[in-house]
Amino acid sequence: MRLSKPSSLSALTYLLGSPVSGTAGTEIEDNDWEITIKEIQLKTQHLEDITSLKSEEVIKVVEELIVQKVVNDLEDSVENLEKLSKLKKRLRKYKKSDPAETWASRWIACPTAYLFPSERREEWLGDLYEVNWEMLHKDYPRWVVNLNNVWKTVILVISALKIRLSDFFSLGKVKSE
Amino acid sequence: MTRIATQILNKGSTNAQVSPREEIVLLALYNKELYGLQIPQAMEEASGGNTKMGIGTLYPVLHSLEKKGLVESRWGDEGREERGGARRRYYKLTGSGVATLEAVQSFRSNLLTWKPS
Repeated sequence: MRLSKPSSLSALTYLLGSPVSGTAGTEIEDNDWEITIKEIQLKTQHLEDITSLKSEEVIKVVEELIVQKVVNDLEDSVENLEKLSKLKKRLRKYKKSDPAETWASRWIACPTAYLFPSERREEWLGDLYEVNWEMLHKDYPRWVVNLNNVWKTVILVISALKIRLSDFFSLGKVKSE
Repeated sequence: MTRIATQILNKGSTNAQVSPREEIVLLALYNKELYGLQIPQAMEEASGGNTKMGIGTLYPVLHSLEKKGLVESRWGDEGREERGGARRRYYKLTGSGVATLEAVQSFRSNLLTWKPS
């Protein structure tokens, strides 16, 4: 059996109802033709469905498609929003763990800060935290930062004592004058 | 530096006595407004790492200068994340602070150029 691919022209003319006979390069048996035509019919079935619809029906179908697309888009955006809210929650958790806070600053410096003069407390603790933050960003080991923190806290307590003593003596001087 | 020397240093337009440490802090604050941690940083960088001042020395010095009226301070606008939400406290010289520092500087330059008659 000799087979050759049917030319697009011959297939079209067959579909239009005029069977081709003796065309050059289209020597195909009837069975082969039928298979080819069935394939084409299957492929173009959706086109036939569309052409059989009236214009109103087409509009309805298009509207339905548009509505479906809008619904799909909305679902996508809801999904994105959910992802965003999850990310925000994670970010909030990350923010809660203060980058400048260490074990020593939390359990030693903060409670000891009540020994500092009240008007200096915020400044001194802030400076201590800033030093921590810088050290952590310079990749110092955490234990070094903690040790430095304890040492600085002791120094700050001594500073507070110095200030109280100097205030006490200056007060004494003023009274004696 | 002895007490007499500091008294001589302050022989100028103001009666305020300043110690060498206080003088360095005044110098660091001359014509600028710095917060606590910037003052030791300024000293270290200006001296090429030779002069260092820890926070244990700095805060009592700043307190003393404020009490003498040579330095004034104000809170920064907002708390920062790297400071655990605490605000910065900025320091600058008052008028008498500037006068004291200029008196000290003029005394030093006079002493440098002084010759016996």
